[in-house]
Amino acid sequence: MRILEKHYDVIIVGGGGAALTAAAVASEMGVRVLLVSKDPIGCGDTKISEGGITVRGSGSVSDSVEKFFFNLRIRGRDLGDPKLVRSFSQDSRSAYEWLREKGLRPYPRPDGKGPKTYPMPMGGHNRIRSIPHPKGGLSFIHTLLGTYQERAYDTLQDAWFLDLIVNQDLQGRKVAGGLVYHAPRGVLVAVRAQAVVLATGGLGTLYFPNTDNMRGNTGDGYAVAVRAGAGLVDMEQIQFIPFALTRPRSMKGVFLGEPASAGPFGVLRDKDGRPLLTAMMYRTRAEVAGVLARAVAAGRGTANGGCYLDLSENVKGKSGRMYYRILQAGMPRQLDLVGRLMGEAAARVEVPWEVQPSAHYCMGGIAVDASGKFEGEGAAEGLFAAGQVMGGLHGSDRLAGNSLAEIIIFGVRAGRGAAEHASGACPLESGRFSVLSREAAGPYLDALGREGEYHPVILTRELQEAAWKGIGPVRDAGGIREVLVTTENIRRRLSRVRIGAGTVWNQTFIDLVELENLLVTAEAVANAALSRKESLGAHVRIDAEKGVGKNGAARSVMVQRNDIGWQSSVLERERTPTWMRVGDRLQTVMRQRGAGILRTLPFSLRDRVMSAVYRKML
Amino acid sequence: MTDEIPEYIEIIILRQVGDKNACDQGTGQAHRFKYALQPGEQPTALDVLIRAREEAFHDLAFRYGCRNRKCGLCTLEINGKPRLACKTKVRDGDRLGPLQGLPVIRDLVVDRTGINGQLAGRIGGDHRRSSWEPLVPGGIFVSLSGCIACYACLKGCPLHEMNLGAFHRPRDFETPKETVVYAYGNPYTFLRLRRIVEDNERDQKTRDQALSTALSLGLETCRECLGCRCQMGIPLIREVIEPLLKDIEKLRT
Repeated sequence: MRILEKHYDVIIVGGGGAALTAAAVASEMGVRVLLVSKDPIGCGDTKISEGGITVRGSGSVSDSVEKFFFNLRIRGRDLGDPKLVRSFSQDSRSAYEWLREKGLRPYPRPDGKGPKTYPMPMGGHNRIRSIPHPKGGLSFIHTLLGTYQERAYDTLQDAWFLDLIVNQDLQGRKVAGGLVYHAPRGVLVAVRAQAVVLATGGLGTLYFPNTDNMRGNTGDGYAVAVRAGAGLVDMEQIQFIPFALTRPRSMKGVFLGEPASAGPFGVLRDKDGRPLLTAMMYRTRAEVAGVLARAVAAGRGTANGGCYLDLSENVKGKSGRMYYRILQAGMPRQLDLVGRLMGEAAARVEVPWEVQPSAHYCMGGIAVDASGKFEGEGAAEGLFAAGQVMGGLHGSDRLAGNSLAEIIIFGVRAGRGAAEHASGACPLESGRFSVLSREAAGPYLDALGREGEYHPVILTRELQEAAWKGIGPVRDAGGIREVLVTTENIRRRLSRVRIGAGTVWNQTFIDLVELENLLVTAEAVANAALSRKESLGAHVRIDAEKGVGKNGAARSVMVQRNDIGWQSSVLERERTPTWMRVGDRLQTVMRQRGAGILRTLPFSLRDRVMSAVYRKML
Repeated sequence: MTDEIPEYIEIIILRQVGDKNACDQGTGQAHRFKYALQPGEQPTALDVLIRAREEAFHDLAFRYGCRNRKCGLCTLEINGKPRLACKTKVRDGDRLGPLQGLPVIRDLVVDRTGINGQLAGRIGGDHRRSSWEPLVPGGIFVSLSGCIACYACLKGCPLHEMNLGAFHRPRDFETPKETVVYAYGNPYTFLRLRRIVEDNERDQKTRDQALSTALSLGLETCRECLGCRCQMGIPLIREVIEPLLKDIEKLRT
């Protein structure tokens, strides 16, 4: 395969919301930008998201940077890095303003003075803060594609960013560029650049088919960073959405709903109809997904690995009709989906839905500072990260709508940071760069035409199955170690995988690249998960039930790979004052109790109470 | 013992094999795949493709993303008709092939860069919103925002077909900025332009620029056709082509 050499100032890796934002901002600052994306631009998780974005103060005048900050930190069990959380709280409004200027259009409030918000605080927020958009994430992608059309920066699409090229000299380690496989031309491209922004999304495909992510989420950015010596934080914190489809096969894992969509009277039931959980709308995604996954693990699940979500109690009486209207307005696509797959009665929520947890979002990732610049041990100057691939912001819980805010807030910061860095830095001298890029290309060129009895796609399935079992929503130490055994076994077989010799869109080569990235990612998650011995945040440790969160809060796990192997260390975070944490907890408990009391009221009274509540929302 | 006869359907997948230089417009070789059905199962084309790659053709190239008709990546042709693989059920004997009208890179993968880059550098300038303009629920702007960029509308578009055989290089760093990758438009590109014209927060200059771009991409020939179809049900003729044609008239007078 030929190696072409190119020179830019900044490389943006990824094609979703964070990448397009960073590329637009860097390009506006006048540096030469190349965007490298393995999927066509725009085709990331932003596109398929529900389209609700968190904007501070959008729903109540009493909101403030401080209130938002503490809400985020407390819900993230103080794992979130205070300086990132603060940047996030501060930029929340200006990021939305940026999107509005680029052409994003929300519906207006009845008074016409601002965007219409969701009628209630969404997943984990203590205030109304989410603004929905027509056609969900598509609104965002139409807007961000507009910025590409305007700026017309160069792109390489259908191009796999294989590795960073890092130069070590007397002044330290510096990013010199990256190596890219451009599938349509069948060439390797060694791109020299002073700065690289990784905006490659998450790792959902590690759990395929039990994920609602785009296929492209194969942990590429985490793996690229680890291979370049970078540390990852909070990698054990993976959010599983509780309500996803269990069938048909090609749609297993597809998103159906949040705990909030269970309404005040939704009940989770096992395969025999016995209740597992109530008051779900006041619980976190992790709590609900954990109960569901444990029931399945205990043999109380359906043949498809799910349980039943029974919403029928919500639609009874006069208030029930109002509830259904709210549901229709909030999740029309999901009701349509349920109607097609489970029947009309299910779409009217008169009969239960079969649901399962599904990998939704990875809170962990590349440790960055407030400008999106990589920091910590093994730091290479010039490396930036934005969006899901960055870590240290959400802590143990990513609240609803925060992901769409994150891609803009840190997309802007990383794009600006990278452009500034590139303007002030010298590119590596081209002779030295050629040597380094040839070195980096070596292992990839060796893989072409490899003979053997194994196939990357089959080994990938083996890994995915092991990951769902061992580092999924329910974990124990033995199961987590089992994942590391599996990755070792797969690695040993990589020398005997069958890889085509062709250069143009070599699918087995692409599969091998992604499999290697998934292996590194699985190991990062497993090693972090071993260090986190208690149930905290997004998953359940069944072997450590008693110590639930006792010692784990305000401590992040950092994992890193060096010559000896994986190392993990603990980062102590600032603790939120106790009285604030207790206050937050009390509020949650009161809400759950409230829902409990509502259930015991005589039906006619309950119907009147709920009618009043829903009327306000409508 | 019960005699359980496994039930199969046989699907034909059109593949491009051998290491060619990209971008031949070919029909490919027919490869047959037997898909074992579970009781009562009606598989989608995507079910078949995912399984075919696991069981038979380990190097089969095809795109997919969300598995839930939202991302527009898995567009292909089923018996010659453009369809989303994740949405369309298949039957015994169905033929799956790449979307015609875009250069085939490998198997079912076509090059999309000529389309998603067609407007790059052609829409620009300063169009900051001047004031808050209400968005109408159910209005055209909202309807057009539902486009998932699956490109199924390209199939059979006579205007887009005029591009074929002309310039087929992927739009990337080796494509000179001043080159128009595809000289002629298509329903998707016109939808993107129409969305700008429909955006009442944009200034007049930008909206006029969108109209003149539509004109330069050959919109006027659409008058004779009006045959566009959208897989997602967006009324392309009523909401994109006809209003654009009308606005162009206004622009002239």
